[in-house]
Amino acid sequence: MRAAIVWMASLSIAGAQVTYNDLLKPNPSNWLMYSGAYNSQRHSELKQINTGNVKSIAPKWIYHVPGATRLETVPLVVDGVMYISEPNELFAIDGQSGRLIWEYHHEPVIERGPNRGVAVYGNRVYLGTPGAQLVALDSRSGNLLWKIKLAEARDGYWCPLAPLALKDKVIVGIAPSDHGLNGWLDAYDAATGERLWRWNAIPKPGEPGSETWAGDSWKTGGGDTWLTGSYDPELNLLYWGTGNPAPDFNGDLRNGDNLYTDSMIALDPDTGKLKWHFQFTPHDVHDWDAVEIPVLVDAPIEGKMRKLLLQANRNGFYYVLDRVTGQFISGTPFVKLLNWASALTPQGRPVRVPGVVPTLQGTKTCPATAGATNWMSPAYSPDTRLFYVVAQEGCGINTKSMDTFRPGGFGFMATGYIESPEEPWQMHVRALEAATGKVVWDYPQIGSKKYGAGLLSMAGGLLFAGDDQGEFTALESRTGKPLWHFNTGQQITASPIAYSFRGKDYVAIAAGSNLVAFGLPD
Amino acid sequence: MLAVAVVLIAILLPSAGAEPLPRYDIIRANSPIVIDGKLDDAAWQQAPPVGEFHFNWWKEGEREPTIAKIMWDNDNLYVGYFCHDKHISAAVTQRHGPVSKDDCVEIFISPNTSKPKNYYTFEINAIGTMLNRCRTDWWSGPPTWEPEGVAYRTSLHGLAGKQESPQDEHWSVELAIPFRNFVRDAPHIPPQFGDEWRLNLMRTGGVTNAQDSTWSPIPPGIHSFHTPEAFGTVRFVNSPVVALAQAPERRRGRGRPASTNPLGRGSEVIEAGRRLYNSSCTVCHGLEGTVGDRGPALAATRRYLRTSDDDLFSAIKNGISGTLMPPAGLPDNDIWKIVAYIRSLRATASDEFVPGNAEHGAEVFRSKADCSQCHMIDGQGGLLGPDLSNIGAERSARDLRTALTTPRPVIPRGYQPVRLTTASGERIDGVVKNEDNFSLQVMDRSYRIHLINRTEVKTIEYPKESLMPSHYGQSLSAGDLQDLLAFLSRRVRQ
Repeated sequence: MRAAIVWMASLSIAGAQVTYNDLLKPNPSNWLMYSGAYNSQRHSELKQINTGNVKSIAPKWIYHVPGATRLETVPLVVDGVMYISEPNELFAIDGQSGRLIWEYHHEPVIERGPNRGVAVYGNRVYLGTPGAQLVALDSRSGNLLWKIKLAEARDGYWCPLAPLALKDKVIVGIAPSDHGLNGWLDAYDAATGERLWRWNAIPKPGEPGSETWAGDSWKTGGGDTWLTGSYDPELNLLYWGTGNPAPDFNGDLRNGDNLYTDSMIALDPDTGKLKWHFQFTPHDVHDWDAVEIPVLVDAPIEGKMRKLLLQANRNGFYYVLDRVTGQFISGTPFVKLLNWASALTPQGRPVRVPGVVPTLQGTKTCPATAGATNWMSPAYSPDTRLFYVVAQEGCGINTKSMDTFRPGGFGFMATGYIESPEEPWQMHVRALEAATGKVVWDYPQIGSKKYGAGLLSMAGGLLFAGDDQGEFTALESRTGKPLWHFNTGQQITASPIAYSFRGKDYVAIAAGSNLVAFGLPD
Repeated sequence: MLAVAVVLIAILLPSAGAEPLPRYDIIRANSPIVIDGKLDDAAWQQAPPVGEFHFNWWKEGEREPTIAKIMWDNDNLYVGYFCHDKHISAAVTQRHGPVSKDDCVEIFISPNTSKPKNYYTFEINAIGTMLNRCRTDWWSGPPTWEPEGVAYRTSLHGLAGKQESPQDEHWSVELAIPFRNFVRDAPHIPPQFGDEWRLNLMRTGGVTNAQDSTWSPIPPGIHSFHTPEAFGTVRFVNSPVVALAQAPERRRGRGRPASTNPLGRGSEVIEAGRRLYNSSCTVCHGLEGTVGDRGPALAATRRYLRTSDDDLFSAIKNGISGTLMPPAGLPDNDIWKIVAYIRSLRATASDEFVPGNAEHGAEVFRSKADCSQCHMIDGQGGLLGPDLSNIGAERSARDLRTALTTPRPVIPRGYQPVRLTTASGERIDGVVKNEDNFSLQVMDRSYRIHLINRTEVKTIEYPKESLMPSHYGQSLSAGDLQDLLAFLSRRVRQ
């Protein structure tokens, strides 16, 4: 009932803005998007901290996020100002001193986590909320500029991921499949919040791909989009991984491949039209979302330069795809414990091992549903040409039941999994030859069995990794040899970033309830 | 034929177990209602909604709520409808066209309780097309009827047709019906205090999810709005007034329980409560609830803000066992007045009755007073001062007036002006967002953020005067200032 107000005054506003050109060629002093650059390599060109001096880096400041327990945020940094997100909250911090500049607290508060980060564009910061809203804040003051409803929160939808900004648009996905809610990918006008297009992950009857769903099963098919994707500006293609089909562990009522779940999709970001897709796990019954970060790399394959899309998938295979066409090039297991498929066909389709499906009694399944890897970010170094991934060796006992979809945000999983007692879960950092997936080195994270901490590659020959014991570690990126470590005192479930301000380089990571920034002594 | 009618009436009369017909007290408006399709006039804030609408014939689909209010003055009966609606469609543009096929609201009025079958109909679709009928025993004219002087607007007026759109959320209707139209049937024109009429409020649903709903429920087996036997009863009362047994008023603002105070929270109720409070509660709780001696200072802690009206009432009526708080020994009505007063101690401006022309206040905000130079509302305006989009839910009207007219003794954190020069010769003029012994975070007057080490600071000066002017008591006319306050008091983020 609020009166509409037409504002006449236009104020000339100065200040640093993030332009599309800035995002195309990010200044290494800044960390402008979730995976650092559109190619999602998470590789920083900063060299001040390197293999020679990393042993002397130390915390420069700690920002404690009040009330936080397990931050998963990947902070962004624009000209020294750092943005740290939590569900319903955003903090703008002085990246040099760790001091607060402004904070935003979203209402209504719906308790649901995590939040993994934000996007910046122009003078705005974009935050998805547990109530399935997208909010735009003024990046200088934290003033709320607009908020829009992405989906019905009462149906169970929410928005944990960092949006991706490009070409005056904000791209954002949604969660979760596990409630039998169908996913989509949306583009919004960065200035106004007007929706420009929506791509639906589950085709409706009559649309291509609908033949891969039995009966009405498409209506509760899942296929969410809960992690940030990548973008190739030259090809003008947006790459995004999709989530599992629902119900997760019982596929009996959804016979067929269940497109476009567990897939990599390539969309035209101007129209939202699907250009190609590749499904990693057709008719998944193990909850192996394929949302893991797609890393874009150009590398020779059999002597010929190719535009590649690399993904270490939750199902245990490392995939090399042609990102122009979506053609499968190769797929190699990157974990030893893998019992559900014996091989991949020349088209990349898994050759299933009979019987490795959830049952009433439980079936040993490797990798576990937790995944051979998960949301924790991989990294790629153009210097070593190695793909770095956090891997979990472990198996689960997967069970299934009957379940019926209930609207209102209830789980629709048809049961789940427990850790197999036969071999303990164990986390590793692994370096793979990017073009072949061959393991070059392996760094077991001793004592660490829970996933969550991702990777950062740096031009000074370093790879930063965290683990569930709170250790933040610098590895030599060529060999995997640990060169420095610092125990943050809390489980790490976020991925590190690098930035620079006034000539000083920093590495920062969220650890438990704190954001910690490291640098060389003054 | 007559026998059949009698039988029908017998069936229709509410019997034991059936839902009782609703009652509603129509409050007299004590400030003008502008018929513009928006229910933002101050007067409407005094009127509670009539209560929930009934979906008598519901089978499936979403039951979208309707909020309706009725008011009156010497000339008119006012009806306001706010319809939540995800699928708004309306096509009929011809006067007396079949508007009930569209998204449409209807008001059937029977001004004489002894002749309930004499009733008048007002049906308005979402694009402002009206149909009227006079269903009385004396009417011998055409099927339709031309009432005199009815003013009405919908929130979608001016459109030739309304197709459904994904942006659809709600629409509203506001109408004023001159009492003179009912002169043949009403006992008094205008009504006298205590006069009762019968009426029903209805809504139809257009194309998608076309749910029919009514304020007064229609008995099973009948699918017609034209059921005067089922009309509810309304009573014309003064304002503010005891309006017992009405639906709890929907309150704006945040973190507060809904008001269940049967006396409402009009300024007269609060004033009466203040007098009662200051004569019986101050020994322990301090004058005006500000200084607690033996009991807590009720205005000083948020705890009482979150206590429900009923709990406050119970604590006053019965005392709190185990504490010094005794039973009050006052009539219930007096206790409710005290509840209203305690509530008002921490009420924010949006909960108060702040008179003034809010639309003109918006004009003052951006032109004469130039507030938007520093303050943002709904994404427009400057950044040096706080965002005011929700200020009506954060500050009392008194605080707002003080902020506009009195210099601040202490500048709030985040808005301290600063002028500094750095060792490299940079001059920065702005406000301190944060600082400690080693660093400052400053927003300059061009809204750039500066991250400064103390070691780089050559000179620094903290002007004592806030950037917020305090001259609006002089520089604005009393009317402009009041309109500005009215505008600010209604800034509540939904």
